[in-house]
Amino acid sequence: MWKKLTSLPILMVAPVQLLIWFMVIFPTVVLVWLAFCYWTPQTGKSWWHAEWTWFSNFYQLLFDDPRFLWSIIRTIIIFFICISVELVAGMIMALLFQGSFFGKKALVSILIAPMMIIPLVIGQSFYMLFLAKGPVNQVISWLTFHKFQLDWLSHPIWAMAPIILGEIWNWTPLVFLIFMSGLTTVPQNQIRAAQGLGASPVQIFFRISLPILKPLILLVVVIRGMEIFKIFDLVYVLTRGGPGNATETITMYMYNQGIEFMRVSYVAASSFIILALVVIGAVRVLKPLQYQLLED
Amino acid sequence: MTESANARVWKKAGILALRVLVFLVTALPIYWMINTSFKPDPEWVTFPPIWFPHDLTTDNYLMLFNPKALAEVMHISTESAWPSFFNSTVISVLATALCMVIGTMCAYSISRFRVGGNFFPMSILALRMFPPIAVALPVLVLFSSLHLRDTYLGMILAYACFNLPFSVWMMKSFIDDVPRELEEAAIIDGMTQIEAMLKVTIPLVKAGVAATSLFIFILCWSEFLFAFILTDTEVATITVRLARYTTDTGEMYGARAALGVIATIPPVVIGYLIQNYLVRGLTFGAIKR
Repeated sequence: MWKKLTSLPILMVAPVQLLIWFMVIFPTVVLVWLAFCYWTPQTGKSWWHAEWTWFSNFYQLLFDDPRFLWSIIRTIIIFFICISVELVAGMIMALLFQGSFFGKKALVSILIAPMMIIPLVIGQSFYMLFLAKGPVNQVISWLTFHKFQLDWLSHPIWAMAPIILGEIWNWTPLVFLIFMSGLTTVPQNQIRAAQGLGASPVQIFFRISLPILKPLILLVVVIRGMEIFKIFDLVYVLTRGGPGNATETITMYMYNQGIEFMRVSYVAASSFIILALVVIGAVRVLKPLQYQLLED
Repeated sequence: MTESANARVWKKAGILALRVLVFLVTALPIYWMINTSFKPDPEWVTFPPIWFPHDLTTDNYLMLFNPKALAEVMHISTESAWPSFFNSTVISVLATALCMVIGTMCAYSISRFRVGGNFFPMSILALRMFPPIAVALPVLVLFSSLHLRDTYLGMILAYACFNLPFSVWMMKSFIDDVPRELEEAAIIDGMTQIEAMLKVTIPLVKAGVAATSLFIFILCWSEFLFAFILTDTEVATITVRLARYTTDTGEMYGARAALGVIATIPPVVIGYLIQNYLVRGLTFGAIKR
């Protein structure tokens, strides 16, 4: 047993294991402990002396806190809108940039810039763009020939738009690159054969290219989904979950409750619920990814 | 025949128009950031917005790095942005180094010995699915007890840990590409397994190590949530500083934009250096180009 534990392969993963135990596993244990307690930093007691209150936090969260449930629903809405727009826009962009033409390389280089920019800076830029007197309203005024001055960021429904658009703007280039490299793997002779049989470009896309790209679409959904689920930076800079709590996502909700209101054990309980959802989701979601990553 | 030629021209024009549209949409937020950063105070927010400022100024940048010089003129007092750059650099570089060293060892072990079967590598990947806020709060509680809050060490450990999915998976994809036979030959020639790894395999994936390191550096540099929760004043990073501009001084769009532009330069420069590896990194090595 000892010999097996001190063998080279195990020793080489030991530092990673230790770091994960220290930074993830142990905090998660603390989290579970806090979730069943009543504790805030203001009580003056150490967290390991907290008062055990069983399921009261969970009860309150699930049956008495619509704000929590709404933050989940809102995050799911953002997920669906962003993923579908990113997939469609990324695919259209990839199709637009097929073949070679003058200046393609330079143009593609510019188009992938958004994914390198700090999300927080993107948030600030979109903040300025979506001000009531900002350029976006001006452009809309030009296009519609009506004076248009919507205060996006303090509108209860439209405040979501800058957040969603910022996320889409940030990550569509990644989807575009993934699909562009995917399209080069579509066998040309199949396309030529289809053309010879009189297929239209639309038919070729849906019957030949799309089925080949299907694993990539899945990959995009999984990878982007993982990130959108945690969306925070843009929300914090653009609206801080406001107006009211109209744009509060899961992470924003936990931040507000935990850091602003210091309801630490309450947030621990909500984290526990989210983590349970994530673990259940991870098993389902990572299966197809595992197939792609490990068995190629 | 003329009709189809006509149609082809229209189609070409349509594609060109779409390409231009995509370019404009991509460029607008970047342009607006740079544009605002060079505008003088009264032009930050006006109606109609100013698309092409006529009197460009560098006051916004001066305000960031030499705030005292402008304090009297502009009646604004801010702190210098230098310390946050220093903090971000120290934390990002050291966290990247730690993450790469242990991550590469782990990746090698997974690639060559399949440690932990499928479960262990997938569990590292699952780290990326953990919502950071769910971990950040207990980590904050823990760090407060251990006096690690608002220290370099705490931030470095946090960043090194949460970038492990990238370093392990990306390095694994590079090491997988090196044929095992090379090491076996080296071992037959009398090297130990570790020597074979250090002298044969790692030199062959040098480019991969560089790309992965730079990639992780970008991620550390851009990270916000952990920095915001785990730092206070001592080691506040550049992103925390950016967020503080938003909260404290509300309307200083120009200075914020200037700081945003400067903070964005390192990741963008590095991003273009490793352009060909970005997709590989962000897909955990699933797509190799």
